[in-house]
Amino acid sequence: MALEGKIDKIEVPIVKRSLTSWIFDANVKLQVMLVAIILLTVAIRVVPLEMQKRIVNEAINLRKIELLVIYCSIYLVAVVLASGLKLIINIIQTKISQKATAEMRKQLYHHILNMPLSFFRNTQPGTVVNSLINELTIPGNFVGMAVAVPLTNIVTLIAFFIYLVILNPVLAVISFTIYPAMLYFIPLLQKYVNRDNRKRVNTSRKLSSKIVESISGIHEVQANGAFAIENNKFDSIVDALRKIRIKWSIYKFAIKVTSNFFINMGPFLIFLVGGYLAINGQLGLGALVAFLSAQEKLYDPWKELIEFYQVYQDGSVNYNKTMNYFDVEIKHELESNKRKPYELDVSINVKNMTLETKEGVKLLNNISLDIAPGEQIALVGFSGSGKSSLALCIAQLYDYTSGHANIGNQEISKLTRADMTKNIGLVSQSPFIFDGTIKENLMYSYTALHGEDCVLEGDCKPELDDLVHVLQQSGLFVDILRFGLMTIVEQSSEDLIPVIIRMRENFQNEFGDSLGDRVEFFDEKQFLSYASIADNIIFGAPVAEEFKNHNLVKNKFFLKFMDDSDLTRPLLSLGKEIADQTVDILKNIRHDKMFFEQSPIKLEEFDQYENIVIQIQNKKLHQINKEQKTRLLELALRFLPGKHKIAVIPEFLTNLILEGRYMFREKILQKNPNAIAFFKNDQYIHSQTIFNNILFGIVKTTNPVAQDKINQFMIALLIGEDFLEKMIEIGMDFKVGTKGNNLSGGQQQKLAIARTFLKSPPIIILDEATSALDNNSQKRIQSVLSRHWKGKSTIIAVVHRLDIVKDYDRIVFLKAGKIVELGTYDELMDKKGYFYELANEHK
Amino acid sequence: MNTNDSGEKSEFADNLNIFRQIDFFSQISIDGMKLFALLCKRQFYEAGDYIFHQGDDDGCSYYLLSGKAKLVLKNDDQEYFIREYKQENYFGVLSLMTPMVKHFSLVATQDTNCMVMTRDAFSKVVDQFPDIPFKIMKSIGQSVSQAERKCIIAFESKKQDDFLNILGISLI
Repeated sequence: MALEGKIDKIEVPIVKRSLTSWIFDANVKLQVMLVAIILLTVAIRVVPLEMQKRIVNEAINLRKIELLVIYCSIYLVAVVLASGLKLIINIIQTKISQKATAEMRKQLYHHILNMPLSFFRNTQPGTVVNSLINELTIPGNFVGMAVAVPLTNIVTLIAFFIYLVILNPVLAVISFTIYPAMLYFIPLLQKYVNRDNRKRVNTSRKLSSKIVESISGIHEVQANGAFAIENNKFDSIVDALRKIRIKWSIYKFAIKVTSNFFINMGPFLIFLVGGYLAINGQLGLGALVAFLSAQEKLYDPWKELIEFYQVYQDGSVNYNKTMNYFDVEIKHELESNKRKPYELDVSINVKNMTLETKEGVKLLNNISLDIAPGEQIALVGFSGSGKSSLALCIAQLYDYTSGHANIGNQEISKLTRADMTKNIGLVSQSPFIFDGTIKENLMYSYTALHGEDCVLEGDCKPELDDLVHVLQQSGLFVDILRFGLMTIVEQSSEDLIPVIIRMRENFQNEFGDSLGDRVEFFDEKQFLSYASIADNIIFGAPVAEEFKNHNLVKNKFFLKFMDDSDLTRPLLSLGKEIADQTVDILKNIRHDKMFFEQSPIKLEEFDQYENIVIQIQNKKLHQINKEQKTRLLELALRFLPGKHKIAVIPEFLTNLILEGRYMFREKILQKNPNAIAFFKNDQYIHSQTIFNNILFGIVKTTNPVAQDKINQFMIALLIGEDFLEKMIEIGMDFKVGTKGNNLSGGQQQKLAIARTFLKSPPIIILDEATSALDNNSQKRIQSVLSRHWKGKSTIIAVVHRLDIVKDYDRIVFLKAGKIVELGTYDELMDKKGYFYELANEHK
Repeated sequence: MNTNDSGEKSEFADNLNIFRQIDFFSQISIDGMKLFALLCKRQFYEAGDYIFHQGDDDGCSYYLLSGKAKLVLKNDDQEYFIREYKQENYFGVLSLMTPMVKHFSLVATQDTNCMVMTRDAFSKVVDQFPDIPFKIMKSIGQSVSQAERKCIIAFESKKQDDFLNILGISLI
């Protein structure tokens, strides 16, 4: 039964479902319970009316205290019960509506992810975000209200009506005459509300798209100084939305006012007619009170009905607009219910395939191409020739408009997504890297193929060796190793520390001499150009909070030490020079993080230091106040001579600092021996990376060649210590940042290649997959492809660099959507046609 | 102002002086030049190190502070020597302005110190001073024109070897 329900759901796509179909969707039990509670509530609601009548007619008229007490008690119990039940109704209602909203969001999201790529080319992410987050709220609310509200209120109205008819039929009919009038006027107004609501949804979408567009293009906006243009665009949409919302709200209020007006007419009619009847003795005073009271009580159910009607109307508009927007045909089922994904024989046969845009442009024109299993094919051509389109059609990401394309005799357009996942791996030119760790990204395609459960808990978990293997193949291995080495060890990995200390010794014994030019080793007799002045003085990692760098200028002990060791004045002078220089260079510049890399002043501090510079202009050092001194000292202590090029540290000062280093150590050991963990050869420095700990120093150069050499030394050492795999594991936990921001373009491409290698599909499609790599990396990956993957996987590569195409079995040359040349490298070179010309041009 | 009490100059001040003397940058306002001086980096290469590789787009321009380097062209396992760069030579300005592949390799023949400017840094400065590319363009135009003149003279006098001067024009 449950299974049937599930299959049904898959078969009716969410975008085809009506809003009302959600009311009983998996909510039948809750809705039935709701109906029962509502009927009970309504019955209880009539009780106070009857009690009112009896209190006036029996208790008060007959002056019976005990009757008064009894009736009042019943009244009280009824009110308490009614309130309690109302609360339960609200809770159930909320549950139903939240469940519906959540389910709508999930199903719509699942639907959207499988929509054709062409849809997303014309859709801003903002529109999708807005639809999923905002527009489904009211429809969800409607689903929650759909049974409870109309039932409660209509039954209440009917119950009251019957009660009143029993009391006095004439008066009852008269007091209900107002409702037909309302039923005429309100829908009339609602039409306008709906019209404006539709406009509101459209304009909100535009607004979301606009925001997303300007935020994604913020670089261009700022670079062009196009603030006014963008502001105008945004402002005009906001203004349009404001006008629509005002009109929309006015019509909504009009409905409220109309409904209030009619409801206030009720008592008027009762006083007029009921008063007349009472004067004539045709109606008891108690009944009149009951009428007036009922009239008042009618107000709430009626109000709720009106509100419900509005939610229904708004909800329908929002729901239908949203679903219609996403009602694009899903060309490829996610998976088949009837069979497992195909394991295809991977021969590819393309026959008379054409890809035509709506405007009639033929991106691919009558392509025919047969690719044998295991063959490696390069697609070559000028930009716009259709080489990428061809690859993407075979990958099912583009849908060819006529002709045939088969993999293992199965038409690609008829295959499910699961079939494609099973058989094809694609690396695109600008691969998307997801927020998370390297490892998560590396396993992305593999996990998608084998399923999260199987990979995380089951038998499909890849071995570390497999991961290392693909990292080596893609050339990412050294990068990952670096990430590992650049990690600051957490307390939890304390077991690493003795190994690292041992590696430090070995490293110095073996490589210490040859790295002297490139590395500044922690040597207590030497001034460190690549450590801050504060680090140079303390020469250790602060343990006590008051000795951490940012607290030093507030630390009385340290300030006194600086006075005693004659450091205060020269450092103050240095701090002043740094502030002067930085402010002079950057005062009229729109600030960018990059400008602050050469100065100890941080971007966010610039304004403060600019003020200080202005204030102390033309003043001598002894004339500046304490706060200013503190700020300048702070700069000097943060100053890193090897990196902050705007100032230079005089030689006498480096000597003073070296002397100060000894003096500081002497003093602190007397006062608080545990405040600092001094840099010693046999001690781990917790504030430093694993790399700096092994090095026991800091790399001076940013020169990639030099860094390569050090890396090679490091790898040799890690291998010697049997520590390489551990370091790779640590490196794979590196956080890549949003969209892989912490990785270079080349690293992102290598990661994308590695994740496809790990998945190891029978067909690999590379869409200019190595374009961001340097020459050597590109050649390396090419040689891995032509050696290691030869015969294992069919490879279709869109290639823009012709020096790597020699290795492919055949080359397909496309021009204006047609294959104009096809053959081996030598054949095409001999032919002296298009390919020959392009190849020569590149040389 | 860019020197400290003992008369030692900061690297920034050094860089600024150098930029003033490079033709391509000489027309730029002092504020723009300061940013260049701030953002460029020093790079040290041992003799034998590659400074850049043929076929790579390193996006950098170089000024040799000290040392020497040879420009070479590799073709089918043959290596041709094009020319030598030495102290005070500046090259690679086009790489700052547009993505382009280096057609040659540069190898340090002595221990060499370079002042390197990257395309990224260059574009940050241009964001602030949008007129900079136009000013550099003028100098580039003149350089190309001069190179062409030399080429014409060599052509007229049939001195094939002088064409070598033109080789590497993309490295102006």
